[in-house]
Amino acid sequence: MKATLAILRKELRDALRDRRTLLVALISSLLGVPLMLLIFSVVLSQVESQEEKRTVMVKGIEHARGLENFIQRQGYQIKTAPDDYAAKSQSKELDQPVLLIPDNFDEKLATGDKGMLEIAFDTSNRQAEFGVRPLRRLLDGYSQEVATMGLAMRGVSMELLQRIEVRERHLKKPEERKATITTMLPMMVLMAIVLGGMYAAIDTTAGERERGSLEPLMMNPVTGWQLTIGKWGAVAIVGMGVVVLTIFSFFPSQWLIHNETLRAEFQFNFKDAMGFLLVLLPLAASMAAIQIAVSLDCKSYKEAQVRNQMVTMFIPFVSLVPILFPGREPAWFQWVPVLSQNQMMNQVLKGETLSTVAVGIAFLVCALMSLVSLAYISQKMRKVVMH
Amino acid sequence: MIIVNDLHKEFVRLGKSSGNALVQTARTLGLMKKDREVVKAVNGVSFSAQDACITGLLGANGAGKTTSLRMIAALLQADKGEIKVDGATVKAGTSSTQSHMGVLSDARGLYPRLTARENIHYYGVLHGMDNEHAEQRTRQLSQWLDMDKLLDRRTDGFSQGERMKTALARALVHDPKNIILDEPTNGLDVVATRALREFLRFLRSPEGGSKCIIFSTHIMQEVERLCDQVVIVADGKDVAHGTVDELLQQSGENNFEDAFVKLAFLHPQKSLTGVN
Repeated sequence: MKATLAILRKELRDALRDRRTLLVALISSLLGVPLMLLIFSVVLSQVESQEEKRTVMVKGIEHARGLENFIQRQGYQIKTAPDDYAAKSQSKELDQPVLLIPDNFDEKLATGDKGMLEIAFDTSNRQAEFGVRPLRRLLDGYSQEVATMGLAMRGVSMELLQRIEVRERHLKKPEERKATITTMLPMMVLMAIVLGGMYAAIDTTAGERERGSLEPLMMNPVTGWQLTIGKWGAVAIVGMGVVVLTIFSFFPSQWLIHNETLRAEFQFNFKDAMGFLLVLLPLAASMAAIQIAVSLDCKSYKEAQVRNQMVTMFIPFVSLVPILFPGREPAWFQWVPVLSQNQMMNQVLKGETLSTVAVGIAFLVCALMSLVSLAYISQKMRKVVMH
Repeated sequence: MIIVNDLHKEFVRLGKSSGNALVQTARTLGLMKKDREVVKAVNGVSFSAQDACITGLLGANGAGKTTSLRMIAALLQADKGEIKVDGATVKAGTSSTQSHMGVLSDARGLYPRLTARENIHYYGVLHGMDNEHAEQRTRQLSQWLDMDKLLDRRTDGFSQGERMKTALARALVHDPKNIILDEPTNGLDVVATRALREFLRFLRSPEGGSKCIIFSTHIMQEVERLCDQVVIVADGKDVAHGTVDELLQQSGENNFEDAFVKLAFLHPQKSLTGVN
């Protein structure tokens, strides 16, 4: 016990004096989430500003007096597009799609022919693309008005034309929150966990071997289990520290959100933070055990880094699995590490209560993974230098 | 006291490079079987090292000195043979005999982010010493090895000599009765080598604890000036034993280097002359 504690203390001290370990841990935990929320907030604001802009950029409005009148009645302003609109859209100078009206538009409508309108935008110009949807909605409105007017002139009652009215009724629980954009968040958090403890895990195994300090260490009368628990304890503490920092970085991140919609979606309170900790701390601890096991018999830092990156790649892949199962998520998700944490974090973000069973299962899976890894490490620990 | 009886160790060397680039790539990926080659690193080494005595393991590079010492230090499983340290049999990978031994192996890695004191103290605690005892022992060793100025510096950037001193203090922190040193003078300058020699003599003396010291080297002068007993190792076997004078006599040379070359490399001839 004393030796185990001594190993733990030494490894922790070593890790905290290592710039590389510390830097990665701090950057991955403190920077990721705020940065992501800031970006989402900006993007969302751009989308909304396009929808709220209430201007339409048109070329050839003089050929569509009826449309001009309709657009103005809807409270939109009409701007004339420059002649070189194509080049300007490509160079992102123009942040709106352009409505193109052919010369004979009004004549065609008057004679009962089909009129053709075009919306021109550069598909790589994201700002302009956001503006397409509101413009289409406006034009659909006009198209419908023209049609209704035509029928009304022929004596068909307006009532008859709108026999069916459709309304949306929202069934979500009142306390539940919308979480569409924030579904990206769990993956960021999971990545932070994996990256945060990785360098500590490598340093304590392959790093120690590369420096030649592992062999002398094995000449001390300590058992494989003592070494394993000591080293794992230190790496797990670093990993769990990263979890705590990451989660508490959510609170200052909320100030960075300048978009009202996102702010309404992302209301992270103290209770949610506790839920996240409950879900993530066991995962971080078992991740540390896996990372040590993976790096254990590597001869060099680089080799261990490559192997650990393969483990890291697992996270985004697993986070994508739910896409294959739209709608209700199958029950076995609860048994898959990373997947179950992903699921539970989403529940917390939506304001749902975590089920005790799900938390229990996740904890069990993490405990099992840790135990298997630790047993392997303790078996192997003293043997890696023995050849 | 350390008694070594008929040690054997074979290694299988994998991946001897032969064949074209494609074959080699396939081997790297594990698609093709790698070439195997059996190397007999140690092939029957026996000797005993007494307390209050410095025993030198002398041999050319690759003679099997380091492998033998690693087996004695319980870092490597012998294929055959027995090692006894103060009466207890050494079992590789277990810690039963390790508290009786202080080992300075060829891997002398220190923790670069810890100070010399922390490096030494850590091993003391791992040997079951309490903080105070480990601290006191660190101070004592530091005084003997003249490294007071180094103690509170991080070992990153230490010179070879400073590194060796720290590693030696670390290996001896638990005051072991038996001391094993693998080429301790490698990379040391004259001054550091002399200081080390003095220190080993001190450890052999009754004030220093009458230690049983085994050290391996390929440098003749080391052996001549320091060892009470010499074991010459060649091709994995011990080919000659005795004091420096006895070995000179045995070889009929009056220069120790010539004696070594004769005993280590020309030993088949020795048996021939024996037949004659």
